[in-house]
Amino acid sequence: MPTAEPIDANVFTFEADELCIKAAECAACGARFHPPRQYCARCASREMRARVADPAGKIETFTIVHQRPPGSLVEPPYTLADVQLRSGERFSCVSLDTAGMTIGASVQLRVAAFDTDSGPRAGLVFDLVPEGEANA
Amino acid sequence: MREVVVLGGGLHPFGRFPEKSFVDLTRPAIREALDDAGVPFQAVQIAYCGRVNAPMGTGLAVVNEFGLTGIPIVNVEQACSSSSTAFRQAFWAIEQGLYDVALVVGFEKMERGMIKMAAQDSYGVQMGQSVAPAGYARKAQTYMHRHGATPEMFAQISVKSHKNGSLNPNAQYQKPVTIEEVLASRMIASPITLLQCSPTSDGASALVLASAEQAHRYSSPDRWMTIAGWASGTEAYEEDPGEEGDLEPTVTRLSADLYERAGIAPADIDVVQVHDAFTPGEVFRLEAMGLVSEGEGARFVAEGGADIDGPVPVNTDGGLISRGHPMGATGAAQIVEILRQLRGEAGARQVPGEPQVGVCHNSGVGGVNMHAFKK
Ligand SMILES: [Zn+2]
Repeated sequence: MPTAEPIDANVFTFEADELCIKAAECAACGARFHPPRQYCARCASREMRARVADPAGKIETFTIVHQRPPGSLVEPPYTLADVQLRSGERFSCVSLDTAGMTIGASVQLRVAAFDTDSGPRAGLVFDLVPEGEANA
Repeated sequence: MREVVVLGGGLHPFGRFPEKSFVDLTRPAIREALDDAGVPFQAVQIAYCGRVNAPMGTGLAVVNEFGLTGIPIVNVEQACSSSSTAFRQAFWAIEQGLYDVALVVGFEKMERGMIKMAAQDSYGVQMGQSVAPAGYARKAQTYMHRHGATPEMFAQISVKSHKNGSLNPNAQYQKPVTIEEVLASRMIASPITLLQCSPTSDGASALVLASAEQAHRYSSPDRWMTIAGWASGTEAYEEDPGEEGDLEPTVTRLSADLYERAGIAPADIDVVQVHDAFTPGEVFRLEAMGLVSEGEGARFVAEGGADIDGPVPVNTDGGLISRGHPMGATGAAQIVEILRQLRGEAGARQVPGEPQVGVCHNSGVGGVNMHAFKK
């Protein structure tokens, strides 16, 4: 359910109240990117197709951030991970949790609201999927 | 193509000098480099200045301080690798025969705290993703997961760096630290604690380069080092690296280029400067450079392999962690240290056994530059 307007509507939107993670697929080589790219980083093709990414994935690696970097809305400590989605996109994402993080763990993306100068805005975060509940 | 040599180097000590202007920082560094090279300023035909946060065109002010000779003065902004890029451009200009004598300057004044790496209104910055140590920290987590390395091994690198820095009168931190102090310092991004982060710094560095043909006019060959090879690049697109992926694919690729151009192998290298913005970087880069086998680097460094009297002396001046990291000045400062080491002028931190071959690795948001030098 939408909690607030996205910080950046190029990253995700809500379609009929459903989270829609925006991605792009290269028409020439099939590489997939989130957030979407205009041109392909892999083969430099300019022909990209918009698509929606799967919100389920796994942690490639992570760190627990204890000091707030300049400009961040996220309260430390938080987890910053490289996430790979089941649909193939690889990108950085935070979790508001820090306990139980492991390389290879299953995760699910959702939106969370953050306070900004212009009111609450939504960003993508991930949650760990409890062991056994991850549908492969 | 022509042989190019480094004739001289100079530094302004690294540290915090809020009362000093850019010219205050660069004047002693450039003066020392010119005097060290035996080159009068009037002989300098082109200058390249590496800088990040200075106002536009500041390179002209710092070079013109020595006289208005009307030479081209190039400002180079390449984040943490700015002055190694400036150095490479000067090297190319001489190698190609366009000029005979060039000046390279690096300088920086920085605010305290974590550096800003992207536009402040971007989604990634607002979502806490633009964390300077986090790239190193995430690779360190992968490395520990794969190889059973421990946070203590990374912390020991900081102990080594501070020990070397304590022997360097130009270092920002000249006090040794214990592994207990490193581990007990504030956690920044696990496993990296505060004392495993390079500081923000003010400072300046300078180098004088010349064609070997013309270098004879200024000093004797025993004071030169030859630029034996170079390699530069940025990150290429990587296929999903999977569980075994290379942690430093750019350095791996560029090391092969560097060694081929320089006609050297890892075993020939006597002293190394690597970009250790955060301690784990030293390990990843030594492995990517083929100086230690994959998965062995953390243990190797922790057990003294990279000490000044070890088999692969690394960051003999304290590295970014202890010497300091004024972004625009770092790349050229690494080269100044190699010059001192190959000349046998490094004093208390001199690598024993008359080192003949040195390599520098400087990297960051602006890409990677590597250079090899021979006595
Ligand atoms: Zn493509």
